[in-house]
Parts: sequence; C-alpha cells; structure tokens
Amino acid sequence: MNGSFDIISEEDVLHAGNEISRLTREKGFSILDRIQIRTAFSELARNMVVHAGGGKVQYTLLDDWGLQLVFEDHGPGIPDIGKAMSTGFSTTKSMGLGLPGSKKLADDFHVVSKPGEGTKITFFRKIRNDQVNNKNEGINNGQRHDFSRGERNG
Amino acid sequence: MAELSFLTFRGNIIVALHGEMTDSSVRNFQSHLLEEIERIHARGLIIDISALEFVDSYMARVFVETAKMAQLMDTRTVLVGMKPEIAITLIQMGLSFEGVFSAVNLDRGLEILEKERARKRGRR
Ligand SMILES: Nc1ncnc2c1ncn2[C@@H]1O[C@H](COP(=O)(O)OP(=O)(O)O)[C@@H](O)[C@H]1O
Ligand SMILES: [Mg+2]
Repeated sequence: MNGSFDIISEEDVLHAGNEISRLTREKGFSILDRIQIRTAFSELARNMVVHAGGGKVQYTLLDDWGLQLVFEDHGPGIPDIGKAMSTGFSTTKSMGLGLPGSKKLADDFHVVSKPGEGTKITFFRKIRNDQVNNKNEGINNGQRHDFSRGERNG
Repeated sequence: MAELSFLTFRGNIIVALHGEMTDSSVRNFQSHLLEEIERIHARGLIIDISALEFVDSYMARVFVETAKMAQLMDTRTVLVGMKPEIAITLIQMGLSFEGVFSAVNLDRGLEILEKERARKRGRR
C-alpha cells in the first residue's frame, strides 16, 4: 500500500499525520509504534513547511515489513547534515530536536541534501514481529528494501 | 485545537487540550491562558493532555514556555495525563520538561499544587 501527500501548510501536516495514524492503526501497529511514527512524521513534515516552504511525503506500507516515509522538498537544502543532525542545533532558534529525535525513533534513517536543490529524508519503521498478523506471511519475500546507502541507526 | 475551555477549581485553572496545535492556535492558547491567570489571580495551572495523540518537540516547547510565562505570574504549572507511550517517545528523542511538574491524573496534579502552596506559605 502506498500514496503521497503534498505538504505546504501546518494544516497539511496535521491532515496527513491523521491519515498516517489511521493507516498504522488499521495495520495493527502497537500504540508505541503508532505514536512514534506520528511524532517523527510531525517533526519531519513540519521541517519541510518551516525550513523548505513545503514538500511531499510518500508512504509505503507493507505487511510483514513496516512503514517507509520519504520526505522530499526543493527548499534550500541542508549545508551541513552532521551539524543539523546534532541535538539542539537549529537555524530558527527552536528546539533542534526534530532531526536527531526522528532518527532515534527510526529503524532506518537517512538524509540526502544538496544546497540549493533540496532535501530528501527517508524514515523507516519496522512492524515488530510480535504484532504482525500472520495472514499474509511470505508475500513480501524478496521485496525487502535496500538501505545500504546513507546513514544507519547504530 | 478547536475550542478551549478553562475550568476554575480552588484558585487553579484547569485546561484540557484536544486535537492538534498549529502556530496560530498555540499563540491563541497562550494569550487566553495568561489573560485568565491574570483575571482570577490563579495560583496553579493544570494542563490536561490526556486527549493528545502525540506530543512533538514543537508542542513540548509550547508547554515549557507556557509554564515559564505562568511562573513569572507566580503560577505553578502541572502537566497532567501524559500517555506512557508519549513519555517514552519524548525521553527517547532527548526531550525534557525542565521546570514543569507532571502528574498522572487531575487528582495528583491538584495535590502537587496544594503541596507547592503549603511549601510557599511555610517559607514566609
Ligand atoms: N527540510 C529541510 N530543509 C532545509 N533545512 C532543514 C530541513 N529540515 C531541517 N533543516 C535544518 O536542520 C536544522 C535542524 O532541524 P531540527 O532538528 O528539526 O530542528 P528545528 O526544526 O527545531 O530547527 C533546522 O534548523 C534547519 O536548519
Ligand atoms: Mg524541526
């Protein structure tokens, strides 16, 4: 299952966030997973509105696999990703926890950004094994996505 | 955040948050709250967040800021009813609610405010 949302305003962040919450609830993610996905979604989508003038989120939800969110914008880009990923760094005098915090909530997380071109952030959260409904077992074999590029969570 | 209703109980303001917060609704929330604190000379402020589905760093900042503003008016703030999964998430992200009391429910929140008041009287 996949789809996308255009994110221009704060209202778009809320609307799309509600949809993501609904999808993860329907797919049987635990409360903790749902809350953490929603929180990371809010951080990264809000970043697009605040720092890049808007962008697009694509979601891919697969049984027995998890949820991938790709946030893509054509804003100013992030000149120093390492700096932006560090706790407390903010160019808008806010908390500077959105990027590092979202990474901590992810099973896989990577940032690609080019100054002047834009930013693409991939967030992936597994469905925990104990909560996968067994009905579709095996269907997604061979569809495991490759996260070998970009940063990984330790 | 559609409507905001303030409840007053023994000199404390109780406000429950529902739904989501955008920049403009947050500014609205803060200014109404401060007006109300001033109007009734509130001794304590309870913000009930048990209906919130999640709390991100933006919302967390609003709570901390609001508590600081209230503190300047000699009003203590207690955040009440945070879901355990939200608390876990905030800690995992590295967020802290410095200077804000928190309690599992309204009763415990009011208890904290009573104790704070007694402590203040004791100091006089
Ligand atoms: N989509 C984006 N486009 C451009 N810059 C971004 C984007 N997302 C984040 N940044 C930069 O990274 C910094 C850190 O982001 P974040 O951790 O969310 O903190 P905050 O949003 O509170 O500033 C931001 O201050 C901004 O400079
Ligand atoms: Mg941010």
